[in-house]
Amino acid sequence: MGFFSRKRYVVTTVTIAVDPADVPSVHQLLSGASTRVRGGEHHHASEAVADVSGFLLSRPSAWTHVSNHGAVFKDEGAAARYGDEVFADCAARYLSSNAAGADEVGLEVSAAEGRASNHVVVMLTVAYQGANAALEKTLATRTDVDQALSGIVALHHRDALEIAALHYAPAHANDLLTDDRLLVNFPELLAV
Amino acid sequence: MNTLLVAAALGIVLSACAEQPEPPGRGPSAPTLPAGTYEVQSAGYEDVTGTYSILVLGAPAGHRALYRGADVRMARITDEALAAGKASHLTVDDGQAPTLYLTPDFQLSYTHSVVEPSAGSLAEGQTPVIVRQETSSWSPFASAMAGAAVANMLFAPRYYFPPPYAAGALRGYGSAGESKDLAKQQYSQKFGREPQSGRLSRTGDINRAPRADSLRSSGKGSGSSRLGKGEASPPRKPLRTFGGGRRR
Repeated sequence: MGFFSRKRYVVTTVTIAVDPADVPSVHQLLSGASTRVRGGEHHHASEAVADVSGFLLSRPSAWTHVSNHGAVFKDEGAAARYGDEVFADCAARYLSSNAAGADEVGLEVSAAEGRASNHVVVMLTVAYQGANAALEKTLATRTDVDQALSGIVALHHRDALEIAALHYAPAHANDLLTDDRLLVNFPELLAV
Repeated sequence: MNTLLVAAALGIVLSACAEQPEPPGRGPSAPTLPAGTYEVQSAGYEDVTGTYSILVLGAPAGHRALYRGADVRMARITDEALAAGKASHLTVDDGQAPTLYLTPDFQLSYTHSVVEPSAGSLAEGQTPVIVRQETSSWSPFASAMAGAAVANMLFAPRYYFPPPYAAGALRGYGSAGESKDLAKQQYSQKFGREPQSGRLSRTGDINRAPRADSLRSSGKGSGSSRLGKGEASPPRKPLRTFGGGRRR
């Protein structure tokens, strides 16, 4: 990158909470997508994130909460490092459950919390060069969310996703993300 | 289609593991895969136990596609093999530690555990407890390592320890050696302490009970970036930020 280049890099995270009762297949989809992201090929990660976006696009009635946050940089390295920070921030929202250890982690929920309140939170982080109005505004309405998700899918089709990261919680369909947990770990989420 | 099948296979493998969890640190002593070379679908490293989890493609019927164990060597795929289109692979050899041959951009998923003694101080006999886990990635051979001599060493299988954990993706390695002990020695000389897995091995198995943190649910995360970090430079402020979600 030349000294005088006027490049623009955007890194942004769109976080959407869905009601798993409305989308029973969500964990199957997320776990498949997560495996593809982890595969090591950037193209597959990009495709997996676009697939999750497309899936969410097709289930608007399941959205319960949304938030987004992003930053614009002129320097690629600064954007890359910010991407790492965002990744760590997303990962701090849940207890990681890796392959074989998953079910040993004590995630029991007291009976009082019940099954009445349950959420699945999907965090999609992408980066791209240039500008994209649909992704660079505060997402407040269903239309905003629709356009932002469509924007991610379109960026993938242009092979323009420089970062493609997917986080989701809980990791398994039989774990609970209760109202309390949602409030504590995702305080920025707003009801849509 | 292929990736979908693999994803389905992973699901089966993971649930199989979940039903019969192996005690951490005492993983399977014998490779579950017969000798051979297998393409690597994904790999992970847990710093608390030093255990690798490697998911391979093309495991013969009746064998688990997931290899789990701490006795794993790594090597970088040579430039010639890279040019010939060789992908990351695992070689299993009878009587020898399996070797992961990785492309320079290969990322292992990295699980970092924050460990605390179970009751105040780490006196003898106390069991450390994982209070927090974070997911990151580790690219052992991604670092811009100068010098052909160093590069040549990367092509021979050796034992590696990751660099000290820091927020964000880990690149390069903390130490390497022909044996685990040599790698551990080198790590101690460089950083003045043992690698995390080494420090824990003295205190036996760890108790996976995130007490104070039960307000978090489980979760999973992975990502891929093709943005270059360039030279390390002082952190630059963004031109602008947007969105309503204030990050912590």
